[in-house]
Amino acid sequence: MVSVNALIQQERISDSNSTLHNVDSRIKLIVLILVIVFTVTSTNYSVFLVLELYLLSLFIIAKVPIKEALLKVLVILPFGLFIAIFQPFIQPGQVLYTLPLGINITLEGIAFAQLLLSRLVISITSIVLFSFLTPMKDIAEAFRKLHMPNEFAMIFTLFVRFIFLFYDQLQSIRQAQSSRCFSLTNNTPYLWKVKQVGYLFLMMFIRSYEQGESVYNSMASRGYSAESKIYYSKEKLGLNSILYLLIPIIIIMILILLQYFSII
Amino acid sequence: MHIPDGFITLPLCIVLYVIAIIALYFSFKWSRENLDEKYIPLLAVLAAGIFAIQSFNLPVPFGSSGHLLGAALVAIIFCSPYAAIIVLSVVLILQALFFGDGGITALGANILNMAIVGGFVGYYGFSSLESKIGKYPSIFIAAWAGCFIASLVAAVEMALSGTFPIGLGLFYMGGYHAMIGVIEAIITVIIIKGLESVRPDLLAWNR
Repeated sequence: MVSVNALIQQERISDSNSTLHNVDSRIKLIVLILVIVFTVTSTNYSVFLVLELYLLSLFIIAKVPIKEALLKVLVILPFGLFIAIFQPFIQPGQVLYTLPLGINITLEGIAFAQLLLSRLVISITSIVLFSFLTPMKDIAEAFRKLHMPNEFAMIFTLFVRFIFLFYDQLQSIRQAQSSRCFSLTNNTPYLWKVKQVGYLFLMMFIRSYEQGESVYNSMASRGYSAESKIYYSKEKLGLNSILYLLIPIIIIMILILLQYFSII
Repeated sequence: MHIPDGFITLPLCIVLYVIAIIALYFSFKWSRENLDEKYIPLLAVLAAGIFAIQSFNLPVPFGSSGHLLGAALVAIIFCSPYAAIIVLSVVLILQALFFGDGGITALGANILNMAIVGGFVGYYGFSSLESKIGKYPSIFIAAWAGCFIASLVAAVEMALSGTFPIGLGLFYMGGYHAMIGVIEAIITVIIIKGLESVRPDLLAWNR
């Protein structure tokens, strides 16, 4: 799950000023979906290589620290990696090696694991790029501009704003617990520890509920009603946004043509 | 349990997206009809609280760790699976877009597994068992089942996509989440018991 450090790092890097950071957030969202959908429908490793190189070049143009980006990709990989690692042993096909206990490693299994991992790496790279280029608060505006339901965008706006507050609160409660020598790894009974964590969550839950009520009261006193809509300025797309959308579309079209004519 | 991109076939992703959108449509409809206009700030801030709570990993036996899902908790507190669908969906969308926890193409699947199945099993498990075995045992079983059944559905989705055989998927996913589910169940009971003593008005059955 998302740690406090990951949250802070994501917000710090995304809140920069570069040509790519200034691209319209809905365009970034569309490109993210486009790249991922194309990736998961492809089985060609040349396609994967071109897409990965394109995404990495965007990291460099945006001056996003590559080391942090790669670290984030590595942190996200494990669950997918776990599923992919099993593939050589569970997919039927031509047996390459037979291990003790009758476990077979198949050629088709290795190929499928490679395919899953390649897709996964590109999808995660594009998500990390998106997250390092887009502050979380911009996504609600992107939803509105893409004509998603107002309620949904409104919930998202408030949700993103309060995440940081609750992370701070969770941290301070945990610090208070640590100062009283509470630790999940010490020798106190396991059930007792779970109970203490339960109390912590209870406190967080009550705080978030009460905060929700107080936010509503503040909003209502400023004229909020169920019909209120989020304001967003109708700005024209800049050249950087148009290029950010067009370049991947052109790359994808070229890749489709190259595959069609069996060049790659 | 967060299924990544590329692990589910695109046709299945589309079907699961349609199911998730329909469920979200009915959830917002329920919210408009059953909660007053404060439901937007309330559910949004509650989702932020759940998001923070989910960042807390608890060690479970055999050296692994898990975190609270919260679908059954929200569904039982609001006495409706629809509240859980809204709260968990918002959390899952942010996790997929910014933290790679679950894929973008698999978002429909993840919403179905954790928000819809988690919420429905959590609430209807509780409401159907409450009269037979009592309030807190039924909350315990419903929260455990919400987590466990959600993982089985995820295993079925991956089996349908040819990513993981059904038998092994059900065994590993089910086995792991049966363990995590116990923690989910204990914490759900503690939170609801705590709410009953300090803020009983927050529980929908007391209103």
